[in-house]
Amino acid sequence: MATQRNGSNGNGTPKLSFRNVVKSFEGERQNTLALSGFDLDVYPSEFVCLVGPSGCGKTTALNLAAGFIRPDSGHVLLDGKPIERPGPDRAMVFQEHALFPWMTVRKNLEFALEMIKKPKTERTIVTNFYLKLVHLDAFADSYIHELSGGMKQRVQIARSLALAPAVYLMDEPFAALDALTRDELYDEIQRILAQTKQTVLFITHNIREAVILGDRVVVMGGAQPGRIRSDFTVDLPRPRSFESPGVSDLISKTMAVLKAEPGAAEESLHG
Amino acid sequence: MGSMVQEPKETLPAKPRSHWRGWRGVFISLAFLAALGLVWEGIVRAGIWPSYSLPSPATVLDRLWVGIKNNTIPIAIGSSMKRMIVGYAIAVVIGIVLGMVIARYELAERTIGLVVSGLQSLPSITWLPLALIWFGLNDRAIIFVVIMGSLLAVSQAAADGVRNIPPLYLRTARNLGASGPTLFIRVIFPASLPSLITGMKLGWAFAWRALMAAELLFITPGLGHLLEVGREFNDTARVIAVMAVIVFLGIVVDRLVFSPAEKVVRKRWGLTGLQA
Repeated sequence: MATQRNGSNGNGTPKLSFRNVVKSFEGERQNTLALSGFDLDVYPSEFVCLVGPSGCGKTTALNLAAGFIRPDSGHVLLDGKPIERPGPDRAMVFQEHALFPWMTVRKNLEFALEMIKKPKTERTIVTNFYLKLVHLDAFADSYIHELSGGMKQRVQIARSLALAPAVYLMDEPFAALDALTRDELYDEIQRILAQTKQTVLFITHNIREAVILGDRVVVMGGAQPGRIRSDFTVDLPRPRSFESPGVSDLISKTMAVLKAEPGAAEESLHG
Repeated sequence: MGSMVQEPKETLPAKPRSHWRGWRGVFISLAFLAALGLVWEGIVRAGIWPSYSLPSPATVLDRLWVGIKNNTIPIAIGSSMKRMIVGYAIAVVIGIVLGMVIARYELAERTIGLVVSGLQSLPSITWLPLALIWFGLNDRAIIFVVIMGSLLAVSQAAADGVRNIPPLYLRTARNLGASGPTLFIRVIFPASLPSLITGMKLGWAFAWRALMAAELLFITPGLGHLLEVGREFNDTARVIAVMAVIVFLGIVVDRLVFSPAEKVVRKRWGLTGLQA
């Protein structure tokens, strides 16, 4: 059900790749090494979950892919070209507060489409399509403060889908939601991605979430910070939920791997 | 319905605050003002001060009525408001641009920002002599004083507003590819609106003070000038009547313009939380 990857058995050329990336941050007392010798390939149509406790460097990896920061050394490549600045070809779904409250739901999407220079008539059509896809067409003219947490994340997902980016970057998009809403969104995102076959790099500290959503689960953290500890392919049938056969087995297996080294996985256990 | 669990009834008492809302609150405020008027009348009748020092409320109301009827007060309001609106509008536009530039560019902060925060310690009326030399005895001099009265407060508020924008809005905007003027106009400006409106309200109050001070020293129609005329005639009731008009206008502008705008923005920007 789960196979350890060697990193070379992908399908074709990678969409997004990290090559021997080193990134450190200046601290008050000392510099922190967030990533060192970090290698990862994300292949087209792959849903890759990067899991690990806080401080393991997974967020740094995402920020590098987004172009918010630059590596100290090594390369971060999109379709073989170095990533130099943030851009809508790597649309990001944030944990929360990433929708503009002065715009309605519709305007939030249309603004994003305006940024990628879609003509006006097309913006309306695309917006309507994706709002319908996430079941929020009835809330198109609502303001953001009128939505629940789950609805806000759906708007964010719709916005990034509308941009049709080369790769989706998701920064713990469901971490701030209650368990029920989260389960609902797991179903939803699997349903949508089954249709659209997008490439996703998904960051989470929640192993359960990673196993349900990912085609691959890449685990970070442990004795050597900033490196990948294990890389699993999850070939269980979709759509998956906690009850799906094989899921809980794989979850406990992954956790066992993490627990093998003390201190590595505590934070992943309360997901 | 054979429900097994009895839902607890909602017996939470209404918040005490709610008693003071709506007409009830207005009534209590008016009653207080009426009581204040009665105390005032009582002091006048006690004859502690001569009536030319402390006129009765009735005399003040009479002067107010006369001033309205013979059109001196409406004309004064008109010309004061005209200067106010022109000066304030200019101050707001320049102030917002200045503030945003100061907050976004380190060089601007070290240079223009330094001058802005330095000049803020200067009472706005001290610009009047310079204004009179530069522009002569005319409206432009007063408008200049009004601008200097509110410009610095507005630009400071705009700068603070930009500095306090939640970083995630800016990250989102960059992720979507927004930059340059688009980033300023579509994201940075609206994102800073909550602080900005508070600053604009403060700027309006400063401009109003600056205008009154300038008009007092300057012979021309206007509310400040009307105060000065009252003093020349030793007409205390008239002075108090004009002061009441100035207070009234201040309250009206706050209640009709700034408070509603502040409320809408705070609500929409998600800053009010759950309080009723």
